[in-house]
Amino acid sequence: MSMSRSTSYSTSPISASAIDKIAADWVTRVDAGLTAEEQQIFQDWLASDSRHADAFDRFTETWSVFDRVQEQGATSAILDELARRTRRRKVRRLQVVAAAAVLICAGLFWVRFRAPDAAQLPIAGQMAFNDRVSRLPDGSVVELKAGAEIAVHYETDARRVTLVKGEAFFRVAKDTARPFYVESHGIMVRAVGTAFSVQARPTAIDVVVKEGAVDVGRAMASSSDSDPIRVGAGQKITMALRLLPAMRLPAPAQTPESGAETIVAKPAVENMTETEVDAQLAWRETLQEFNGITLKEAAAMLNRQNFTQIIIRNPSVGRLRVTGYFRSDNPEAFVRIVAESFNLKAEEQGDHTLLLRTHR
Amino acid sequence: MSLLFVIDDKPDAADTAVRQQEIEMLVDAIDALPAHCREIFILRKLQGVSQKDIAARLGLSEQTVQVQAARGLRRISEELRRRLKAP
Repeated sequence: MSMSRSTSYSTSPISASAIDKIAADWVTRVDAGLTAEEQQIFQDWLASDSRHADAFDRFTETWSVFDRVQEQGATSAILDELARRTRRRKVRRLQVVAAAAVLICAGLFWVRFRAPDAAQLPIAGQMAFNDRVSRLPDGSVVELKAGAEIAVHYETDARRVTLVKGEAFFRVAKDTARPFYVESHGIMVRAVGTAFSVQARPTAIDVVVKEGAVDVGRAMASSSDSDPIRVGAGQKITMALRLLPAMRLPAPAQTPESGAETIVAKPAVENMTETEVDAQLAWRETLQEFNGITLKEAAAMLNRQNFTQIIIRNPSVGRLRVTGYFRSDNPEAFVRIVAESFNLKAEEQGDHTLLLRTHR
Repeated sequence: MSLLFVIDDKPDAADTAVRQQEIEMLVDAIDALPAHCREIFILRKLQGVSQKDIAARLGLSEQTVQVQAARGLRRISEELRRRLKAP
């Protein structure tokens, strides 16, 4: 019966179904909480065979389907449908056996509880970013709204960021050879060099593009979800989340009520005015207050948030103190104002470097 | 026709259809479980009851609850994969 499976795994005496059994076991045990000792046994098991990790991931994905059910508010729809079927089964049984009148109806009453926070499993090779503004290894800049969480995993041919929760704004450094992807709950945003925000809400992902364009699609496109959609500057798209994002759904059957009407699975791209875009991104608070800090510190702060880097030539210049509000996304303006106020010389060096030095 | 779901942003017809399909698929998978296993899986994963509380409520050992939950998980996973692979 499982001939093909057992031959492909002939190197090891343990069968795929035995591994599956153990892997599913670990998923539920990890979820219930492991002792330090069990944690060690689990880690050893996970590392001892790549098939173990594969099976564990597969069952973790199914386990998390039910976390999404909760997050996306689909629990009652599922419980109601299950109760309906149980009722139907019971009615059918009643018709056959009259004595079945003494039915336990406990199954018909569903008490709703809040699911406890799902234990976050550590994922290897990721860096977590918690600062409000961070420069990524390639020079791209990410701004996190309060409470937002991302994980960054750069590969040689792709830059990948996962938005775990909340909202983040990305200013992507151009690198056509290494596209920049933001993935959030099964929704994939692809950018080459552009500025956009991604917001994870319980039931949908919003993408707002400030500059350039991005392609938005599903991490795993199903036959009922069409190709990636181009979203340009000043546009917004809202992608509804799926309960089974990692799986291919067949095209939805047309309901009799909807008749010959075809269902087009293409979310609308919404046009926004500049004011609306700014309002949407108002949390970024681009104005930064410098309260008598040194020019060296101020430059370091701006450098962390921008591609364009400010270089201060003379240590004496770095010790000057600056006070006031500056746009944190405009180092050019900052350098110009500082140069004027302190009678310094500002020079552009290449496309992305600004030099500040004394006149000499 | 009445709206099936009311969320803060109104889902379009396609999203509603996909969601309905997903729910049916999950219900089918859960419904196909053996009765005992189904009851435990529903309590554990849909109603968010802890393993310990389920054990107390049903008069079972925690170990039994965990084994049944794992069994349910494996079967549901296989069922979903089987259905989604089918053309």
